[in-house]
Amino acid sequence: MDIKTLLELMFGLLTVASAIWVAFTPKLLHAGFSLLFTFFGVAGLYVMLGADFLAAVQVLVYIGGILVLLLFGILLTTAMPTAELTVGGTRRGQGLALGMLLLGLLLLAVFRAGWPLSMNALPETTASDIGKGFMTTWLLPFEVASILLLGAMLGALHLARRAGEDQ
Amino acid sequence: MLTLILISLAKVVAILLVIILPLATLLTWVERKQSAVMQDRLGANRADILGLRVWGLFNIIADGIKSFSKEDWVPPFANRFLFNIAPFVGLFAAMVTFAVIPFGPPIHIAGQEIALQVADLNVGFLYILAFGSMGVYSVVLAGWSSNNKYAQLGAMRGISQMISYEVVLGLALVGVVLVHGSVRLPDIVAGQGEHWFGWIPKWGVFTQPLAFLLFLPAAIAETKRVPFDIPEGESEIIGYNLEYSGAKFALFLLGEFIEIVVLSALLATLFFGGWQVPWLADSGFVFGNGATVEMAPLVVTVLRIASFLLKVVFFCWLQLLIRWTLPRFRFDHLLRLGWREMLPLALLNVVVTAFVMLS
Repeated sequence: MDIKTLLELMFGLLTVASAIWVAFTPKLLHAGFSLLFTFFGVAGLYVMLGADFLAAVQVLVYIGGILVLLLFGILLTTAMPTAELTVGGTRRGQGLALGMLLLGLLLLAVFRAGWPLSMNALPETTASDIGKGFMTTWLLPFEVASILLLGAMLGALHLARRAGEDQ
Repeated sequence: MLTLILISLAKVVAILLVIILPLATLLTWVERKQSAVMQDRLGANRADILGLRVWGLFNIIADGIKSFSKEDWVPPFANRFLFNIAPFVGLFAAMVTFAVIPFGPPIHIAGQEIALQVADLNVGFLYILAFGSMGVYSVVLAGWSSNNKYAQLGAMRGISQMISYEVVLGLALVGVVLVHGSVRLPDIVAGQGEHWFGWIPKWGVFTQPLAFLLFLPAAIAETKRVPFDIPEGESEIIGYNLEYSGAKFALFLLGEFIEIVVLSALLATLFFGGWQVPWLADSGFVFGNGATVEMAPLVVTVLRIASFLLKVVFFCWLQLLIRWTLPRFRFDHLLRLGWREMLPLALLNVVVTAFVMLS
């Protein structure tokens, strides 16, 4: 087994194992920290697939941004860091059903996909192609995403403003 | 494959043993000595070996022995695992940033071109930001795992400060990337080797002055040193590393000094031409009035590596100077400065740069 396959397996294992931990640990904060390794594993997989730009953005946005804010939120809420999430009775059944549904959908997608292999060499730089793609072919989805983010930001500002405050 | 791995390994060892660790250790002494000079004191000068004092240089060794022989205390209610890895996370995040910094021009040995840079990533600029943002985890983990209210409050201050200034940091760098049209650091350094009218080097500080003025304070805020040291506040308000003692506390301090070195290297690379020496081309000096000084390739390479090291040392000195000159910000002032003053300026810089590049 060559070193590349070994690394791919390692990153894959890291992603799956930590994701399982996120789902099954009752401690919220442990789940949060475990998610760090999931994101890191996914970034590693991106690197192995030659998507260096995507990997860097994955680390920057998910690990450096979203997860920090998530943990920040957990830590700021007094009871949350030590809170234990217990799932009982009927909820368990509903969760199982929903999980199975999602699993089915994913499996369907996996088996339906053709997985075509490209014989082209890996592109030298991915960043410029992605940038050009955003500005030409995929301009509309890009703009829709930015409007969505703008809306989320305005909403957050509105929520953060105390009632009766003018500024 | 094996030679490639060996070459990379050699580069990593060289960077660690020649640049990062010696500079970071020396800085612990320089910080004390420089502050002493600035405050008209004699400074660290007591440690002596057989009557030898060499300006207090032995204090470094004394500090090391002291911190490693102290009790390594873990608070009983702490989360042991997270408590133990927190200082290493910070150290890791600071050190790996160096991997993408080119510390010299490519050299030729036995017909092979070897880049003086550990990892020539196509996304070097994003890599810096990505691992820069990972430094926050050291603070979060340390503050939370200590299970101490003051440490947690310190961590809160740390997180808010670091994620606020990260935004400015990233946006300031976007201007630099726009000017050079590349996110690869060797391209950015190569672009800074050109001159205007043959005399003024196209260094980042001249092409992107506003970005430099925004990047420097934002980056100092990321290192959590005075005037942005509210997360730590080692002298009065206590911070996220309050429960740490002995070797692990020393690791936090070492991490801070390594951050200074890395930040200096970043400043040199992005804004001061990296390994470029003004007017020095591959063949020797070429001045604006046409005068040339021929030089052997080896001399040029040595000069360029020396120029990079000199710039790094200069910025280390500058950061210590800033640290011992300015008073601390109040926390609301700090956040206001970041979000209300520096962020709009950074956005303006990006927009203006984009328009200038288009026209």
